[in-house]
Amino acid sequence: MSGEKRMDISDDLIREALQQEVDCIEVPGKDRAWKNITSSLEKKRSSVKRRQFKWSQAAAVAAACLIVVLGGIGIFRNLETGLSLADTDMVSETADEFGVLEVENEVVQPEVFDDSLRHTEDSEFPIGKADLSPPDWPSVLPGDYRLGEALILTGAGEPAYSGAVYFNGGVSLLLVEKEINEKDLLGFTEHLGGHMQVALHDIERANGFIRFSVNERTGLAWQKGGRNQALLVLSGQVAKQELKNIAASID
Amino acid sequence: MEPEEIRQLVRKNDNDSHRALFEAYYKRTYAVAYNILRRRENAEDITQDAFVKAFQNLHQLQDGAKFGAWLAVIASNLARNYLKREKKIILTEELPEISTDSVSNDTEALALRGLEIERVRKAIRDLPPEQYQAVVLQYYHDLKVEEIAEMLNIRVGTVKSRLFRARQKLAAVLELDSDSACHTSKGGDL
Repeated sequence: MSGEKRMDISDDLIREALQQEVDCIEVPGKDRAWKNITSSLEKKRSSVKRRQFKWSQAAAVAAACLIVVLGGIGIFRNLETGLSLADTDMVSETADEFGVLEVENEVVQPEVFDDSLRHTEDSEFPIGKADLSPPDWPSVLPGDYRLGEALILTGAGEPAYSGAVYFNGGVSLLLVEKEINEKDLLGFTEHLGGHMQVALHDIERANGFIRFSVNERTGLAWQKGGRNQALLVLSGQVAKQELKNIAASID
Repeated sequence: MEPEEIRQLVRKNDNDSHRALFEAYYKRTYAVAYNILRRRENAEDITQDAFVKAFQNLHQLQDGAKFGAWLAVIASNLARNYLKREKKIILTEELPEISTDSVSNDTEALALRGLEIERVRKAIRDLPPEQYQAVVLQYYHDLKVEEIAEMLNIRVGTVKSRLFRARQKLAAVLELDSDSACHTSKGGDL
């Protein structure tokens, strides 16, 4: 009972004690405190204004950069010289932006290129336009690579090569061919590299093949049936021998 | 200051209303900070910071009438954070002199009451900051346990626990003093 009473008393005492704490406390320079508070508030306000100004500047710069970049892309598209494969892991197309192509790091499955996403005459891959009258590309290559898209690789607005992109899971291949004219196989290979705006490296000749690499992606070129042909790994890893097997299977 | 008057000042949220709120709450906010920090300079800085933060975020205060409690929470949180950051050891300073009016009463009962209040004040100062914070909000600002929990962003159970422990300590101090007095009067050893 005395404990309960004591707690009741404590409640009351606490209030009085707290009130006395406030009443008795000596408060140092109130005016100085108010001056400091208003000064701090003013500083913070001006700091916020400065930050906002910087943000607006940054937004303006970003917008200007975007215009320059988009303009550059537009010019680049008009020249139709093709994008660098060195920076391209995969080419795909979104259903929402039909005909507008984007570069992705992710591997695109063959089913992305269904009939509803077929290119129109005006659409284009970074490395060329859709080929609406493609040659008779094999529908499947050894290793179960399936035909995804037929292309016309253009140079200065003029058709340069016929091409086809094949997919198998995370691996994609570009098959290119052109009738043999004045260029030999090496000339064709180098011209192809120039067309794609990439430098070819590690060029080797062996048994009628030219093996090369583009940014560590393996390529193989050969001649068959009056045509120069080349196979380039666009994404994933493919063994040299497998490329040769594929090359051997193509008429 | 009446609750509706405080609400209006909070709603106004301009320099004049800030000044009025400062005048009304500076002393009690300083007292909260000082009781946690025990250093006048630090308490002054923390109190000023608390006002700056409060005025900057005044639009977030849902019930303007609770400005005082809200400010006390800001100040006590700042003070607690300061202690944690600086790892300061709280040193007990002498209590400010209790006004002689409160003890120089003619009656013995009032004198005893004054002594008890003094003991409680001392005991309150020895409470851990988080218990002191809860005590101030409940007993000085008359907040309900649920309101304290909301303000401190902790569970109701935690508030109850802090308050219970604080009350236990305060009661123990009074009991101890009372027992001591008995022992002394009986001539027993301590």
